Amino acid sequence: MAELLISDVRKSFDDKQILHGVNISIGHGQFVVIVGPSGCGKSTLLRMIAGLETITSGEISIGGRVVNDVNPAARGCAMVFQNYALYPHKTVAENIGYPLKIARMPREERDRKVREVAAALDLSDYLGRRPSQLSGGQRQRVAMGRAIVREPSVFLFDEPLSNLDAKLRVQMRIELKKLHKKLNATSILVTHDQVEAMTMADKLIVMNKGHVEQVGSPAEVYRRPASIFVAAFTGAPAMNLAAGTVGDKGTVALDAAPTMPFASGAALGAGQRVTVGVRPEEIVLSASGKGLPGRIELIEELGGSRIAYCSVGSQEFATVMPPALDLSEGDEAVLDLPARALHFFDIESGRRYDA
Amino acid sequence: MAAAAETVEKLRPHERALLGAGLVAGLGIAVLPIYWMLLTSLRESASVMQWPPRLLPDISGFSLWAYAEVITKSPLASWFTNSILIATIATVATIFISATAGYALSRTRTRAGLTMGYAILVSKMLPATLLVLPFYIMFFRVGLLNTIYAPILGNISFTVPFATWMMKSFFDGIPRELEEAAVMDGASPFRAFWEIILPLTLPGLAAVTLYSFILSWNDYVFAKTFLAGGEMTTLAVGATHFLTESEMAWNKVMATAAMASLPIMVIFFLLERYFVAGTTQGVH
Repeated sequence: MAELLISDVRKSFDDKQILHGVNISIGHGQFVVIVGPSGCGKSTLLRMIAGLETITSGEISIGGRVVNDVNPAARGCAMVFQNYALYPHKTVAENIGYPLKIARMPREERDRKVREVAAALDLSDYLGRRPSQLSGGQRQRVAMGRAIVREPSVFLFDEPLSNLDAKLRVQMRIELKKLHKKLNATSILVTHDQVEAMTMADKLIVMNKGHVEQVGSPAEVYRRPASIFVAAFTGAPAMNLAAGTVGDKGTVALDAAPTMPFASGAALGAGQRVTVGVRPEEIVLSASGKGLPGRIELIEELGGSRIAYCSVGSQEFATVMPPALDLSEGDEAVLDLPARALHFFDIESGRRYDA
Repeated sequence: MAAAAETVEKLRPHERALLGAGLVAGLGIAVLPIYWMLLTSLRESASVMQWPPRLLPDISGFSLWAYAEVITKSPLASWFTNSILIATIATVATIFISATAGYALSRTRTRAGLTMGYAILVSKMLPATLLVLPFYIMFFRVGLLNTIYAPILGNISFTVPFATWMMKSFFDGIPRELEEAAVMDGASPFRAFWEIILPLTLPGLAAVTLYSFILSWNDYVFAKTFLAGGEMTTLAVGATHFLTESEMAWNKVMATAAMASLPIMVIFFLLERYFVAGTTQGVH
């Protein structure tokens, strides 16, 4: 069993603090994705779990054992690097077998395991090739093979799909997930791609500027973002955010349309300044009816659906167009923001108000 | 390479002629001394000092007399042995020091490490003539004078700085993730260096080998100063033994020089493939 516990972990390089006290607990067999913009400290955290970076303060334990001072190989983690880090002068078989060779496994047993792993990853025909003779997807699989062959209790993936083209990325995403189900090991994947994060994670950890912003299932994080940062980071297009003021009788008025208050559905103090958030698919767009008056500025055709970017005063809202709605760019439209779909955030701290 | 060839194709005729002339001039400057060395080494003593000198070979007048004289009547074998030992040991030591120091320099993040790197480079700027005196005193005190170790140490002090920086640039080109992957795979840092990183710098090692061997082989100042002469010296210094008050045997000097060039050529042809890759690294 390999549950992973990160308690109050901090990291500084020289005087610069990269991680400001991170607390995460990961259960055995979970697929955890750490997501955040570049520079948020997610890769540093992963490298600290791996043992490639020292821990300035705090504690990391794997399977109940504190590993702060345990060397990387003895932590039972295997890592897949962003650029794969395959050994260029070694063949595919030698790359995959290298950890076993170091562990002094007898040659016969080693060869057998390498062949098994290669077969599972569809690499049997390439065992004699060098990394330079492989495609991006094949290199990626060799890197995974080298990780799998050690039978680690924790897999660490550092942006493993970011060097692949879009089509291959979707395919590898699925393969990675299947592999995880089969191996039943704890996996931690770091990415800056929120779609990748949402689709792969059992548990999502959103990081920003060295802090954990939110931990939860992808659905929780999407439906109840804990902060403006998380709201703006998840979803494509991201959540619409607009400044507003709470009125009396449970209403709220946007700065962009101050004369058109609407029901907030939240118990907030009158006169309070808030950031109002609403997902594009929750906005009800119509040609006429109740709601904020706006104008369709741009329509994005996605095939299965259309995204309309509408202006309400100085504010822009992304909305999902109902299939039957026959409006085009430049037309007037009405945007209804249903009270049950609204999110409220503190305008200063960015934290969510729970109504 | 192909792109460069295309660029030349696109030039106008007179521009190509100019390039060609430049190439011929460059080749002439490079080849003329070798030509003159071979020509002189094959001449009789009488025609060597002839004035005006004859630039074209007269095949009928060629003789191997100078070679025979040098081989039979001088301590050539001893000079050869000394030169080989000095250049080989200095080169092996240079490879070892520059590979390890270059790796350390490439991977250090500390200011102290970088300062040391620059200190190494600055030491390269001191001319041999300046170093020779303090070296002489030191070697005298520890009893190394008139042993091959004195010129070996002198040569190493000269080759290591440049070789270290050359190796550093090679290590810089190898992503850190490779050694991190090796460490995750269970390798010790030394094993990761030896099995993963070092094999990837073969072109660099070839370049360092060639550079350090040629420099040590051609050394004159250290060998002349630290060794007694006679049998106990190197080919470079030994060749000048034929220039005396009674005789200026340039043909013997050149015969010695011609024979001294052979090992360098052999090494160059063995390593050329790597060397070109090494010196043009980062260009493509």
